[in-house]
Amino acid sequence: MNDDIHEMAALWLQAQAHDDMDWQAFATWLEADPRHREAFDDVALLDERIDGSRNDLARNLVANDVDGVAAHGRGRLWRWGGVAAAAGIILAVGGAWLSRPVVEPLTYAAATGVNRNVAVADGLSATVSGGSRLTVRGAGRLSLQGSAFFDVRHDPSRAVVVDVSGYEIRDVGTRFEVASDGVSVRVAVTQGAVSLRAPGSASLVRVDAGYAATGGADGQVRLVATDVTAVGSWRSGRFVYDRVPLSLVAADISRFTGEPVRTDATVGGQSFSGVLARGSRDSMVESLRQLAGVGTRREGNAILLGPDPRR
Amino acid sequence: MILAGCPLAALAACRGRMERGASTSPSGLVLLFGELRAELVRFLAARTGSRADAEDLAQELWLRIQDAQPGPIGNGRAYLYRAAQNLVLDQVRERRRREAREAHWRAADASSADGQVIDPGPDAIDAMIERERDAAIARAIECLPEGAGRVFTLHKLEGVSHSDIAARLGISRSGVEKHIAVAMAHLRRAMGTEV
Repeated sequence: MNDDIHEMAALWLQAQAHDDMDWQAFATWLEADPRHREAFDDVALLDERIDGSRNDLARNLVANDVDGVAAHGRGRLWRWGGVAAAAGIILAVGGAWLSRPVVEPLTYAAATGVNRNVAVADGLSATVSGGSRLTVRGAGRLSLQGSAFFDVRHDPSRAVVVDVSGYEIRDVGTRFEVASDGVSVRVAVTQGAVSLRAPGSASLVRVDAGYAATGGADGQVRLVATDVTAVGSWRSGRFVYDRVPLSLVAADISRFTGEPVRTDATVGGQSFSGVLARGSRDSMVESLRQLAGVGTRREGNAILLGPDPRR
Repeated sequence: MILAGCPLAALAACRGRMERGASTSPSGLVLLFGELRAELVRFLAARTGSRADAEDLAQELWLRIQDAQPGPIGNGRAYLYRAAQNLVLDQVRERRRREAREAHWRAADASSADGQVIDPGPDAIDAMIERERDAAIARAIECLPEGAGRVFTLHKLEGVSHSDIAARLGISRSGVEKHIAVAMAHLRRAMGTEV
C-alpha cells in the first residue's frame, strides 16, 4: 500500500481532534476504496502504540536538570536534538473518553528539583513541578498534589477537570498554573479561562486570563489581577511571586529542595511578592525571611516560618 | 435533566443547540444518538466495511451512552462519532492481537522439535510481541526524514502542541500536520503489516 493513502489517513486522524472535523467527508473517503479503511486502521493503531510506548522510548533519554533540557545527547533519540529530558510520559487516550475508562489511575511524579513534561493526551499537556504528582484517572479527570502548569487545547467535546486539595478546576481550553500546599490552592490563568469550585460548594468562580484565584482551608475564594509573566516562571527555574500566600511559597521551596518548609497559622496567609533564586533550602528560606519580614525556627527536620521576633 | 424541561414544540430547538455544541447532558446524548443514528451507521459501515457490523456497533454505542458519566459533554455530535470510532478501533486491535498470537503459535509449533510447546499464556505472548514492536518503532523513528522526524518527535514524544511547533519552526499548523502525516506513513511502511 503506497505512502499517499497512509499520509491521507494520518491527516484524517489528526483532523479528528478539531472542532470542524467533517465526519461525513471522512466516511466518503473511507467508502471510496477498501484500502482506505485498512490504512486508517494501521495508522490509528500505530498512533496509539506510539503514545503508549513513549514510556519505553523515553527511558533511553537522560533525565536531568530543572530546566528540563537534555544536557547531553545520549540515548537513541538524540538525533532529534534532545527530547525534553524530564521523560514526558503519555497515557494513550483517543479523542473520546467514553470507551477507554482508565482502570488503574496513572501517576506521573516529578523528581525533586526536576520539572517533568507530561503529554496527558492529544492537546493536553502539563509541566509538573519537581516534587509534585499528577494522577490521570480517565474521563478527563486529573488530580494534582503540588503544582503544575497546564496547556489545554480547546476541544468542546472534552472537559478537563483538575482536583486539587478538595478544590475542582474545570477547563475547556486554557493555559494556567495550579499550586497547592495540600490545604490552600491558587490558580493563575495566562490564557483562556477556568472555573474553580471550592470543596462542598455548588458555585463556580470564573478565573480569566490575567487573574489568580486563591482558595484557603475555609473554602473562601479570593480573586486578584496578577502578572502573567510571573505565572509558571518556575518552569524556567525562577520563582517569581506576585501576591502569593506564604504557605504556597513555603510549599514550593519544600518540593524544590526536598526538605520541608512550613508556615504557621499567623503568617501562612500573608501575601508575598518577590523573586527567589534557586538554591538550597537554607538560602531560599533566608531570602524569603528577608523579603517577607518573617521569622524562622526549626521544628524537627522542618523549618517553620512565623512572625518576625524582632517586631 | 435537560430534556425534561423542553416542551415538545421546543424539542427541535433543543436538539439544534446540542448539535451546535452547547453543553449536552447524558440524556441529551441519547436523544442526539436517535437523531444521528442513520449517519452513524453509515460511518460505521464505511469504517468496518460491513453493514451488519455497523448495526452491531451502533447498538453497542447506544448501550454505552446510557451509562455515560454525568457532566457537560460539549459537542455531542463529535463525542458520538469519536466514541463510534473508538469502538471500531477496539475491535480491530483485538482482532490483530489474536492474529499475531496465532501467528506466533504457528511459528513456535513449527520449530518445536518434540512437539512440546510451553504455553506462557496469551498475555505473556502479547507482551513479548509488544516489546518487539516497540523496539522496531524506536528504530524506525530514528530513520525518519529530517523535517518530518523533527516535528513528529516534538509533538508525539515531547507533547508540544501543534500551534507551539508551528510558532517555533515558523510553519503553518497544517504544515505541522502534514509533517506528522508524512512521518506516520514512513513509520507504517517501516513497521510492515504488523502495527
